[in-house]
Amino acid sequence: MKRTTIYIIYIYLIMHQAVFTSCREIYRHEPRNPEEVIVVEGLLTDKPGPHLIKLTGTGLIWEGEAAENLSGLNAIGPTYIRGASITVSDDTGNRFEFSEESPGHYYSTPDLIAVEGRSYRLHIITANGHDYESAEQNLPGRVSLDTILARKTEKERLMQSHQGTYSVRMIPGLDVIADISGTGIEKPLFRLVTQDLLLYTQTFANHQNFLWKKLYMPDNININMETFGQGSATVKDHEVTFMSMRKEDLHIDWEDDFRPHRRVLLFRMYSLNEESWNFYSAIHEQIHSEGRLFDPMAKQLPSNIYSLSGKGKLALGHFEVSRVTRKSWVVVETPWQEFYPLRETDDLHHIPDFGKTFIEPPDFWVD
Amino acid sequence: MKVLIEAVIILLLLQITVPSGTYGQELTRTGAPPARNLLNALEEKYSIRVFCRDEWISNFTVDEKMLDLPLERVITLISLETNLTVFRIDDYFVLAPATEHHGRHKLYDEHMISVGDPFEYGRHSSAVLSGVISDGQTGEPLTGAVIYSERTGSGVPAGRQGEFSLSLPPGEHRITISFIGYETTSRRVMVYGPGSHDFELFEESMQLDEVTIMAQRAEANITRTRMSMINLDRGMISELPGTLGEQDIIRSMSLLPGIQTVGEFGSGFHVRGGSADQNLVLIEEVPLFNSSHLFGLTSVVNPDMVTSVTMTKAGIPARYGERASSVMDIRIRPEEVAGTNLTGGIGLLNSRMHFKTPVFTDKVRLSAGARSSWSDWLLGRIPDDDLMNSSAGFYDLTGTFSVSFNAKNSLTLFGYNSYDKFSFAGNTNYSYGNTLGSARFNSIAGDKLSFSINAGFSKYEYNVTENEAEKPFEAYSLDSEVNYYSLKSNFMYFPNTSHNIEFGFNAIHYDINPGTLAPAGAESNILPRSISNERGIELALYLSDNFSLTPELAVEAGIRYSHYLYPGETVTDSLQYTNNEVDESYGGLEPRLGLRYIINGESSIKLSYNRIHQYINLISNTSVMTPTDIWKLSDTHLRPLRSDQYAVGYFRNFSDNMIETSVELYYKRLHNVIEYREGSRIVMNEALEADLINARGHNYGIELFARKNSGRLTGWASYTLSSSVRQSTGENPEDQINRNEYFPSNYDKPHDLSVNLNYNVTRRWVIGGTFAYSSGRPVTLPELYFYHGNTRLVRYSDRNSFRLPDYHRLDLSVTLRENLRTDRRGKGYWTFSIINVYSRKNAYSVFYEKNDATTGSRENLFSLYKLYIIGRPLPTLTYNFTF
Repeated sequence: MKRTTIYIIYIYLIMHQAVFTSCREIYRHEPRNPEEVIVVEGLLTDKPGPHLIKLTGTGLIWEGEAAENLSGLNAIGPTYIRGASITVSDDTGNRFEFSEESPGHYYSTPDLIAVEGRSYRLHIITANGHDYESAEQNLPGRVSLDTILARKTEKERLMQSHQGTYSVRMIPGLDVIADISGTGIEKPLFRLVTQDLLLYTQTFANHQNFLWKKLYMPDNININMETFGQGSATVKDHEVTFMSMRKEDLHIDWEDDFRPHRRVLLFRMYSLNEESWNFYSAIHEQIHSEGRLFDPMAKQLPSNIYSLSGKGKLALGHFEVSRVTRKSWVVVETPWQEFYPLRETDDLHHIPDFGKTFIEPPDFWVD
Repeated sequence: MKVLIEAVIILLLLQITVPSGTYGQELTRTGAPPARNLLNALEEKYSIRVFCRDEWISNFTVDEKMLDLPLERVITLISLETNLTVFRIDDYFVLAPATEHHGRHKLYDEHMISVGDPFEYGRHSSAVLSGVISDGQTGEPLTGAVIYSERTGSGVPAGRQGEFSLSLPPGEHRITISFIGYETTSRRVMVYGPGSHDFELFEESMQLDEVTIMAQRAEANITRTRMSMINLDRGMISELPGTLGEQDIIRSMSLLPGIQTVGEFGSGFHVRGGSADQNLVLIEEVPLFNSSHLFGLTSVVNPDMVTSVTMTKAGIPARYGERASSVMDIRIRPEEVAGTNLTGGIGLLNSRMHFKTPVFTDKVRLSAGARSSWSDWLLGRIPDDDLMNSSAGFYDLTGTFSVSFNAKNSLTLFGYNSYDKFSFAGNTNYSYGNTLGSARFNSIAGDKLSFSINAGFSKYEYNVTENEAEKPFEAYSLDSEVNYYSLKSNFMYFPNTSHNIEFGFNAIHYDINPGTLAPAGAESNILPRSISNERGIELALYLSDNFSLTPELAVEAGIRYSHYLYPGETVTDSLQYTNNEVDESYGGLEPRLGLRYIINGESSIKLSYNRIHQYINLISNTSVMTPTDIWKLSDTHLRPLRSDQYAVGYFRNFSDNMIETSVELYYKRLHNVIEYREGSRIVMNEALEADLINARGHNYGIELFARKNSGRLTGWASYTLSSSVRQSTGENPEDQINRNEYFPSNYDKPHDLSVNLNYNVTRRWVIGGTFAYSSGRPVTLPELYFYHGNTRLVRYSDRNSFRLPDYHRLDLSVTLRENLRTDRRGKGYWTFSIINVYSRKNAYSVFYEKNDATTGSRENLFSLYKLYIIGRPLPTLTYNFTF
């Protein structure tokens, strides 16, 4: 091939590379709704209170993105709405007041317990006089966790190196799966909140210390996504969580005398009515959507909070009334088996997120 | 005729200055110059009249023998010697100088050319005329020009240097010299013996209208009954603006009023606020389900194959139905060709070829074309890892085979296949293709009746394969297809000269596979799954008459009845319908009416109304039409779309039909338009209908259009001001969109302006430009963020409450037409174009994408991106050829 021809082709390729690789850019649009919108996060369960109603405000979409670009993750948190008057009423006329104990956090008295057969409604009057109300919520039927087991597996995870490059690594761990069923309900709708309690010891200055910490589990919106067939009220092999068995994922400052003692899985299972399930399902869909060119239009999150002050005034969030079941399971390591046995133990949800004792183990120490 | 008029004028002038025919005789008496005496003698001898001023011939030397020569020879000798031009009208001769005013070459045309020595006349039985044919302006030899004697019927082509040698018998000849692109010239030549003479030709572009936009009558837009119709023949198609080096018929339509695309190179097109699936694109009477290659980069129709295109936006004739908004009828009938003909084009993005030939006899004709892209090859050589592992390519094949049994009966077979593939970084592979076929029998059954019967099929299929190397367990392959089988007949009956009656029937069978999911690779954990096929039958009968009530008032009235049967198997909620059991049927009358009133020879008013039912819909909840959208039949939940359109137009031509203008107003009401619930899922959704909402819509607008058909500068400009809105009607909040308030449809672009111009600098050099502007289309965008627990979430706006930035783009092109001097059989021309001259980054789509997945993050962060296809000026170069 002549040198000129090669030169022309080279220029053409460079030209097309420039054309085809510069095909997307960050898009900014002018938000039309600069007014802050109230966001309600309310939970009332069949367990004794105090129950929490959290009021926050929305932010303009660019604020988050700008912060993410400039300051890294978690730079922007919610803004809290203070000074509101909050009550929950039931269909028998009972009214329960909530009091603000920290900015935007409103707690009930311990005597508030959701009761089967009653319906509840949340009422909010903000400091600037806006009036909001939730849709009426009923306590759904109970959902129970029938069997649970942990299976050894490996999962892919995208890891970032010190140089900032990403690579996929296989992480050894346990797939925790469960069979879940409802009693007296057609569809067992639920969400699971799981924590991994690590019990371990470390020796400082020849003194053995007993330490614990609750670890973050990756999927904090864990709901059942199954479509139910006729007559089926059981969810089989529901993926509860993945427990990494990598030491790095325990986030412990490494010392030679670090000794893991036990891993305890703490489950909170909330049975949901259909409206709450739709809300969590929408969240699940939104946060799991990776977003691509041909992905469908946006998933709008439903809300059961409505403004009474002005028609069309927007309110976001959800008031949930659900049953909650708390369970704690000890993972018994049996490296030679495919399945690790899980042994139920006393409920350990109440212990602090982290702590330690000296010389003697705490009373909840599991053998 | 011009020459004759000029001669008459000169004759009259000479009559004034030389008032009497006896003037010559008087000169003789008064001692006139010898040449005058000679002319007088000739007048007397041959009973003719010769007009000439004495001073013009005073230097002519007279030989006594001249009186013995034939008259023509003498006159020729005088003209040659004196450099006078000769005109002859019957027995009258005029000798006059060639003046600038009269145009030298024009006068010279009628000048009798003498070849050889007049005194040797009669010595030779044949003589060779030799010389050179050249360009009259540049002097360059014209290789291949033909010189031809009308008397003998023989001719020869000019050689490389324009030289020629033509053997002729002595005597007078009319010699014709012709060459492609040059004005054919005819000369009178008197051959006395062997000799030479050079000829000059002048480019046609200096005298002729360069571009013929419409092959139909110039005033057709005024006189025809139909409105909102665009008809392009092959000539006009060749004048369409080129995109990526070739004419793109479907995309060029988007430069006409009321026709839009949603984004830069978006797939499909939208007519008067309708969705892409509301357009019936027919190739040889078979519908095309996806009209775009590479997501809209270019159309799937090979422009070389197309013989005509008719686009109708309103007043749609009764013979057409099926889709609610428009009909684009593309014909690729094989033309009569004297011999084998090969045309094509080689471009930087793709190349194409078209071959047509008679088979053994001119009654059997074959035409075949193919196109293929180079983009795959290019991507593999771009020094970028992602692009190197990407692929993008397409091809299409088109063929027709026609047999004319006799003058009245013919059979045409048609076949078409297209294929596209696209993948980025080797992860997700998209592929799709159309396959079309038909057999049509045409017959003329007497003086008043003709008919055609067409059996056709069309298939559209796509595949998506997700096979990320890091996730082999999730690899899957998804297939979907739609099949269309049709039997259509059309009868035309002409009872008298004022009526044109058309009637016929259509039978269509739809068979749709909404989706089949299968694991891709041995490691995949995906469970195979398939959604039951859908089937439907659409039947239609129609009758129409096109007639004139008065010379000014013409009517095209028609009625069509369509009936739809849904025996399809589907699952909705807990109900299961069995196969082949008619579960639902719909039907209805579809009136059609068109009126035309001619105000005068230059203007007319037209009205039209049509109703159409549409039983098949494209389900697409993405912002742009994609290959993975699903076709869905009307069923028990989804009622058929019904469109009622009213239109009125005023049409006015100027400058002897050189300039056409029109103003059209339309209002279109849509019932049972498909809209989508929040977050609806269309892929592998067994209860898809549950994610869809029946809505209603209103589209209305005004369209302005002006076109210049001839002259050096041709082109058109169009402007549309329109609105397209939708409204859900559900009582439950989940069945509502924007609280049942009106909202703009995805295709609502209020302002749309297009200007397309071509300027013929010379016959060979043509400069073209296209400018398009339109409002940005409506989109739904994230507006607010908020938190639930530690999870950051997004609140989106109301449906379609934002708009993308306005779209505008300028494309320029330069075409260098055939080099007419070539002596090779093949001819070719070059087109150089620059797309997006001023680097406008027009949005193809706005989409969101999750930011890089980071470990341990509980944040849900994403970015919003604008995707643009061409962000910089994109030059293309194409060589088109004909053999």
